[in-house]
Amino acid sequence: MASAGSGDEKAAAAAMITLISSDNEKFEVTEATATLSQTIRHMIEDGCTDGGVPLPNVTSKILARVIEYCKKHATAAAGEEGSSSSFSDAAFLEVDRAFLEELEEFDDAFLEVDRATLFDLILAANYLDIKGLLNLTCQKVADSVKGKTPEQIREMYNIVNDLTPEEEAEIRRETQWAFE
Amino acid sequence: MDPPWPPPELIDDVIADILLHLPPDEPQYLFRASLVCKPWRRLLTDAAFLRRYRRFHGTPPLLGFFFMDDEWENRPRPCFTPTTSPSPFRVLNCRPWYPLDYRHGRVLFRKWDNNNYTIWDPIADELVEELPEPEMRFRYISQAVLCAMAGCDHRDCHGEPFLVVRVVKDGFSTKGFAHVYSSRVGSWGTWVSVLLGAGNPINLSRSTVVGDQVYFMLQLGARIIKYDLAKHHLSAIDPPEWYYEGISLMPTKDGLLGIAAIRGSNLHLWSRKLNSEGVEAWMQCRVIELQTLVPPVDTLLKNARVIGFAEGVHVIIMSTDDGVFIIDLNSERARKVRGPGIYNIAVPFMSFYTPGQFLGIGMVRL
Repeated sequence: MASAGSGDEKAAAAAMITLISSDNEKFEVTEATATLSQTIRHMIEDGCTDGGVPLPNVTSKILARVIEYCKKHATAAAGEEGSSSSFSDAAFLEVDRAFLEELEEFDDAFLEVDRATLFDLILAANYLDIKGLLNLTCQKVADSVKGKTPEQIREMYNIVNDLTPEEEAEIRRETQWAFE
Repeated sequence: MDPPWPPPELIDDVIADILLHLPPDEPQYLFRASLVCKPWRRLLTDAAFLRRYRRFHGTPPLLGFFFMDDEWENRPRPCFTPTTSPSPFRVLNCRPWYPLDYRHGRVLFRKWDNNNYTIWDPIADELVEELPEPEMRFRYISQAVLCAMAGCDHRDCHGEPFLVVRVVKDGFSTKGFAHVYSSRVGSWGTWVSVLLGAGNPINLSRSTVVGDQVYFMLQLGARIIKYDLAKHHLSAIDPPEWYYEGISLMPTKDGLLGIAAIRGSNLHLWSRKLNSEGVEAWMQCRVIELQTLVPPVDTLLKNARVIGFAEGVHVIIMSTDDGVFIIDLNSERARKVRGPGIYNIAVPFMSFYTPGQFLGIGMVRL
């Protein structure tokens, strides 16, 4: 495995960051896990993580899920980097595929949450700037909108229709094909 | 019961992120979402959002293809077959123009009445320009239309400037000729030629653009003509193998010249690469067993031909005795999009189609 692990690498692996949720719960994570969040990465770079990183917009319940995601994906990223030099091409591809399949399964299972949790995860991913998690969760919501009528979308997501009947009629008339 | 959405000032960004993930190959999704409420509508018709949407998805999706229906009252009729469901383009069938090529938001037609070339923008539903008559009339002509804007990403180009490359070769002549119309200049340029030998005239199938090169084919795939846009120079290359007909030029994913052709029940994909000696040569890069992609009808593939290729999305348009199929080379999935008929050339139409793009397509602003 990582036989060439230098002192720096070990130091990086050992560096722990404390994340503090809005309800004041503390989570110890490795720097590799935390820096999947661009927001936290910038804070680390600016040296403002001593005494923990307060995340006033994220509850402990959601933060625990976000950390679960980051841990998995940070491991996968590290695994990919490490394996490229130590396996032959064919073996690397095999490992690569296994990684991706496992990651995909993880992502599918990760998305098995109620709608409120999904929205909270989107907001957290947006606030923490975690691109992969934001794409994953947004795609899930976008998929649920596909093929639905405007009425069904409003109902699903409790959205108030503030279009006047005249505006709605005009839009429908203009792009009738989309509503058949 | 789910709680309502969080306060709008926080989620505006998130809504954009969500709607960004609606796939462009079914434009209906964006149009339906634009009728949900005012904030969604404002967002989905916002130029900055739409630029981001196009950048996010990168490649304009396939919306359908133009072709000539030869079986209509004994005279060919231009038709459009959508590949989306439903399609905003059902009315395209009525134009009495021959579809010749499509690229970068512009369709090149030949008009029925005066035989002139016409550039039409299907998204804006606008006639861009009717070209002046070229000096030399030939029976066997192939032509390519392309955007002439330097540095354009071709995700949303319309109107001018554009170029039309026209290549001619008759069966009795030994030379092929090419000239270019530039919308900036407003006229056809000088001719260049290349010696090809007598015999096969130019094929009417669609050209392919790879970098600065535009490629055309002689009939029966006998030779490939290369026009260099930068050098205004014409040359010829040999095809990889003999394919009787139904072979299509295509750009490969890695930006090289490729060929798609059917032999037996296999789809052959070729790519022109530098070989180990540093010489350009054809390499067969993939063989796809079609039997596994189409319905299990024994005779279906007997007359299967490649009639078009949608670049960017990497979709093959294939005609069979059972109708027209589109084959997605990325997913290796096939889908029937039209019933049996006589199909020679399909001109694929790839474009983003979003609310607020032009007057008449979801332009109602709030």
